[in-house]
Amino acid sequence: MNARKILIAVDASEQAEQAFDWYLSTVHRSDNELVLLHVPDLLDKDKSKTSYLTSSAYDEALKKEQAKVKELEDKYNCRILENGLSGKIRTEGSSKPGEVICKIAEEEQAAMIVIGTRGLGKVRRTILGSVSDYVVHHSHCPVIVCRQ
Amino acid sequence: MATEATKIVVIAVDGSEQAENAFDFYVSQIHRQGNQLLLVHSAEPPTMSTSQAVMLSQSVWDQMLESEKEKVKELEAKYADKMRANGMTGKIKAIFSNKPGEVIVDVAKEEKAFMIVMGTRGLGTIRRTIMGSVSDYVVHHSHCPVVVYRHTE
Repeated sequence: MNARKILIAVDASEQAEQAFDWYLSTVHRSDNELVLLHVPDLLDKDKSKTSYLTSSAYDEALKKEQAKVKELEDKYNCRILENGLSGKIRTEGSSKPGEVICKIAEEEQAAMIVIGTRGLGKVRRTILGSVSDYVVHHSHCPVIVCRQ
Repeated sequence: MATEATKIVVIAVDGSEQAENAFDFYVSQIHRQGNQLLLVHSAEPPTMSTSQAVMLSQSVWDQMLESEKEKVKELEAKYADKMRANGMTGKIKAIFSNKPGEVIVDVAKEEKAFMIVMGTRGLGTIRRTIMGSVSDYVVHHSHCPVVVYRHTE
């Protein structure tokens, strides 16, 4: 029987970490495989944001962003190892995190999605928890919305 | 540990197949030994327009109530069997209300549940459940994590 894949939406926020911890302590089963998905709003996908930057300033900004992405990946890879889990972290840049989360959950044939309601995204969006809203309405599989 | 807080899981059920699927999903993918179930059956009281009500005799109304109560009893029996079959401990609470979302959230708060499990489509009046708005309400007002069972087939 194939391992069950659980997709956990993460970003650098504390809430994402809380959702991850909650999942581990409350729901996780040892034969579950984790797919941690990070959907940051990346610079190079949106030319209009960077058109005002000089090329060196743009390179700087890109480097900083890549460093942040790596930091997050390292953090969660450590958590995976520490807890003896089977899993990986994927980073997919996009300005439409809800869509990407649903798409990848389907791709990976996830048995369920775990997502918080507040992340680091632009304030206007996360005040309504609209990424989790989108996912709840469009997911092909059950969604655990972690509110505390 | 001397005493561990009881871990209560609220599962919203009605007579629908989706509610049953949500329950089964919880059992097979989420349940842990020691979790105690609290099934909340938030049923809509029988409704009718005022013009109908004027025409209706007391006995017909009584019959409607009786059949609603029968349905509730059947549902409770069904889920009691399912819990027993899976070796789970739990109770069922039936509450008649036009605001099932509020009922679910309130019960979960009162009982200090640590998780709510529910589907998005139930037996409620079509207009409401097509939008999955009971689950929407619960997701936005719950004080604890909510498992929203969806299965688009």
